[in-house]
Amino acid sequence: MTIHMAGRDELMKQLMTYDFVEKELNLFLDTHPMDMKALEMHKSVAEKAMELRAEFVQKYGPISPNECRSLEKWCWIEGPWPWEN
Amino acid sequence: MWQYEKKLQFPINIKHANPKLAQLIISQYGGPDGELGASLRYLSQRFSMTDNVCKGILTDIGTEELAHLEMVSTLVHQLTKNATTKEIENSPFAQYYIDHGKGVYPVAASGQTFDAATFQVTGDPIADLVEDLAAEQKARATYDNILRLSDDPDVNNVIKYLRQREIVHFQRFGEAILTVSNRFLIEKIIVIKWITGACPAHGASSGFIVYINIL
Repeated sequence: MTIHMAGRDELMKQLMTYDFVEKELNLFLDTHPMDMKALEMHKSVAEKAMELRAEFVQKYGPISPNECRSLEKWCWIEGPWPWEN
Repeated sequence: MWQYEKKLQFPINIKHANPKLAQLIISQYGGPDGELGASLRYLSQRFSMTDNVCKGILTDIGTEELAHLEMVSTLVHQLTKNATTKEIENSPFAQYYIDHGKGVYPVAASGQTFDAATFQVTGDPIADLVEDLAAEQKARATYDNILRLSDDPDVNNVIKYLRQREIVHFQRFGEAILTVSNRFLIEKIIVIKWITGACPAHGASSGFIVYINIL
């Protein structure tokens, strides 16, 4: 694996970790909407996930099509796709 | 992965209950050419696509079909929500009502439950993409049938929007086939004959058909 891909994979793993915690808190809060501790955790995790996402998109390309901002080329369709290893 | 967005792709605000019409429209939820089958077809077919244009278009159209699924179920919900027992009793929706009440369940207008046998995944990019062209036309024809039987302008505006999306998807799938077949043309020994329409590179036409002869 190239150093470039190693960095990409590591950053993606971090983002996936934060996104998962965010999702888990999302489900918990759906049934506990007044839980202050969970609300605080969700806020900080969501902010961290957003930062990691911005860093990933800037370095390695879009995760979602609305993050494609290049005026030269539509980079959304470029691989690798998530099912490709 | 997917994220839910709390909005419809196109606004829906039905003012008059019409269980009879709901019973027809539900076909685009769980029927043979409905949005559920469309989404599963495209999202399943993309794994065996060989180039990024096809992976991208199947992912994105398969995702948009999920938004259409939500629109069709919203129509069914709003058309039945305020229907009286009397209105339901005297409509073809009565049979559905016995099994599902005012819930939204994937069935065809004929009552047949949703079935993955309504679509295919062959693992062959050309075969799958040609099926996708047909699927878009069949869905468009179903929306045409609904428009012939519906006189509610609030419903028809939504159906016309969904119908138009089928036409756009058909156009994009046609272009995706060209991507695959053009690549084969260079790498392999395939001859493409245009029988109708025009090449998108020289002025697009929405109704082109590609015939491919493997020599």
